[in-house]
Amino acid sequence: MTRDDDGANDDDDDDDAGDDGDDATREDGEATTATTKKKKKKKKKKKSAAAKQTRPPSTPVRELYPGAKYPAGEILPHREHNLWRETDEEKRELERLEENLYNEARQCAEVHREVRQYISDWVKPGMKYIDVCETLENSVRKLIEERGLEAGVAFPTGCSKNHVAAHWTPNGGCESVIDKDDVIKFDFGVQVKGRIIDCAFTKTFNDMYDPLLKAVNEATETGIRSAGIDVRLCDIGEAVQEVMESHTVEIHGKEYQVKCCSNLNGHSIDPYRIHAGKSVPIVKGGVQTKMEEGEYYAIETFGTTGRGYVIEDGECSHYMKNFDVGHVPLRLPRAKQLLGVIDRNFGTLAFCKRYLDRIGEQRYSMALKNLCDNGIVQPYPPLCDIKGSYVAQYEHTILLKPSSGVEVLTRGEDY
Amino acid sequence: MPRASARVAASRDADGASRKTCVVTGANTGIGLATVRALRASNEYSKITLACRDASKARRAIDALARDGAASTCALVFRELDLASVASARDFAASYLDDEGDDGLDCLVNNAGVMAVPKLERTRDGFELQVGVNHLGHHALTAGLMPALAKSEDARVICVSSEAHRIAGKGLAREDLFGEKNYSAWGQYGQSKLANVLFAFELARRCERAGLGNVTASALHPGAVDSELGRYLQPPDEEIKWWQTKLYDFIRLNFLKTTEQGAATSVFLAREIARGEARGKYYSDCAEKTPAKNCLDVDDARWLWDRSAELTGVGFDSLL
Repeated sequence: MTRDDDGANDDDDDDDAGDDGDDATREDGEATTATTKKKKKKKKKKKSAAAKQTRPPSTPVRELYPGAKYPAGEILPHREHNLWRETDEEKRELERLEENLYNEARQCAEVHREVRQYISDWVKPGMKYIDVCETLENSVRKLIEERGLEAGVAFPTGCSKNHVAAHWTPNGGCESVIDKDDVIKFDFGVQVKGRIIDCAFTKTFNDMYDPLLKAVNEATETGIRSAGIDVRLCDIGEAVQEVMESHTVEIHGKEYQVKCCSNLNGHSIDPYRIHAGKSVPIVKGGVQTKMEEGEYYAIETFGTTGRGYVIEDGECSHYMKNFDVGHVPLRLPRAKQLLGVIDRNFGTLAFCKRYLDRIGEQRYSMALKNLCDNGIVQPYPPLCDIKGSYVAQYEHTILLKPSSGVEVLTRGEDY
Repeated sequence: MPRASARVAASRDADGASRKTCVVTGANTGIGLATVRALRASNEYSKITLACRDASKARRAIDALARDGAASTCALVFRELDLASVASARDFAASYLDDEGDDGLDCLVNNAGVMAVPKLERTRDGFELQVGVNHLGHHALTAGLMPALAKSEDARVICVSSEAHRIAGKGLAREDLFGEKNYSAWGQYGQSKLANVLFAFELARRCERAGLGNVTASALHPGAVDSELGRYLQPPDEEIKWWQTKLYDFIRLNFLKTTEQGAATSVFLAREIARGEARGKYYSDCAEKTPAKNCLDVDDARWLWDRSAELTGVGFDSLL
């Protein structure tokens, strides 16, 4: 609702027509905090009035959206017992108060859409994983206008292939090359002021895998559609499993029933905390905790032709500082120093070894191990199904808005 | 970036070693020992507790396992537990919670048992020996360990019952649970094994109702196994005749399972089957099987649950 005092002449599809009185009071309240920022934005806007996205993406999305008002995702209305929220004045007001925060999340989502669209077209067999990841991450950094912990990449770009379900990204010097038969899960995140967008898709170069991708995409859609305020998490898991396991696929001439990776979960997202309190299972038998108003969730499902259960295996690349770790006395000076570097650059956001290389850290493996041993940093090794199986993933970030319904922030034309 | 259930994430240390824990009752011999051997070899557990009556037998078992077994990162520890005494079960649980409760407990195999005790014998608390050890002792033990089980992301309570639960064809003898009016060795064994199944099913129902989706309780039939369980079959004061030895060897070689085979279903329920899959089910030969109709009696199960809590004085606080 800030666009009115932005002076932007967008075609105002005001859905709040009729409560002008409300608007007036609110604008007064916002005026003081907002004016300083807005002046700056106006100047830039004029400079690049006809900005267009380049290939590879390098134009910050802020310049593409005059007035810094980013498009909303798909809105799924509430179901019957929550319909009262749509007209409840208190809930509507709650939603208006949060609008600025939503806008930041939408900015991240827009960055995600533009980057993934480019990467998905551009990536080809024969490229090195590490090059693809770096292009992707650099695009994100440019589009979001990276500034320390304020805005940037939210976690390492996952590009786990085939039987590796998640948490794999190349470490420095990795020579592995994309094969034409690879099933790659691109899982990357963008954050502004800690608001994390977590969204993923699967890329293949062989239409043999299309039924598998379709199964997983449908399962994720089911998960999103079953989500909502007051929905029990276990019910989402059950719905997802039902859809996922109704698919059979034929890969390399062998028929498989698609299975859910039973020990992988979606999760709620808090500021600067990718894995917040709640897990969204993708199989039945989960906990009965309910989703609540105002929460952000990453709804993600994994379909596999393997046993449907992942274990940690392989060289670790992902690390994250534990969110609620207090002060831990460290004996190793190098570990202390590395912890300082992590605190300044990543805080409690996930990072990988490449990110440490990038900011000029060298010979940190002992110190990193020490931090892990002391429980300050948690390693997240690759999660693998059995060798020879194929795992696919689709993921969206959703927001349970108090009044208007569930917003699928990362919805795009592609998925 | 997905979240892996704590089971995987926490089950391995930074150096790839597992962090799961397991308690097996009656683990010094027979199926229990074979179960421990298999679980240890799987390297999925960092610590297995052998809960047995006799310290020296347990230590001998641990030594034997350490000697014969494959290399493993799994530690084996002994903790004293006499299921014929509620106090011992309570002490066991309390000391376990004190020492290791923080890590949770991922697997409890209620494996110990006595079979076909010829005369009515009693436990220290005055219960009939078979129902007392096979059921009431395990009831008290499971209740005591519940806080640790609830902490695990994927806790399994595995009750080793038997097809012998079908002996109790008339269902649970509510009036005469201890067979005091009309004692029969096999009848009481049947009662105790029926109680095992009823207990497992009721535990599964209650956990689900209490929102403890992480705790899975199941029952199983190990098969007729050549183990020490048959210790009472031969009257102690009679001389073993030459043909008895021959006959027994013949039966053993042709009809009985080895302890490894007997442990297979327990091991299957402990680690191979997916989380929550076995909840409230009865297994035999690693496959689901329909138990006797009496096992599905919800009323009996509820009665047994309350009665056991009353008799042992140990209840499940978190599951009402």
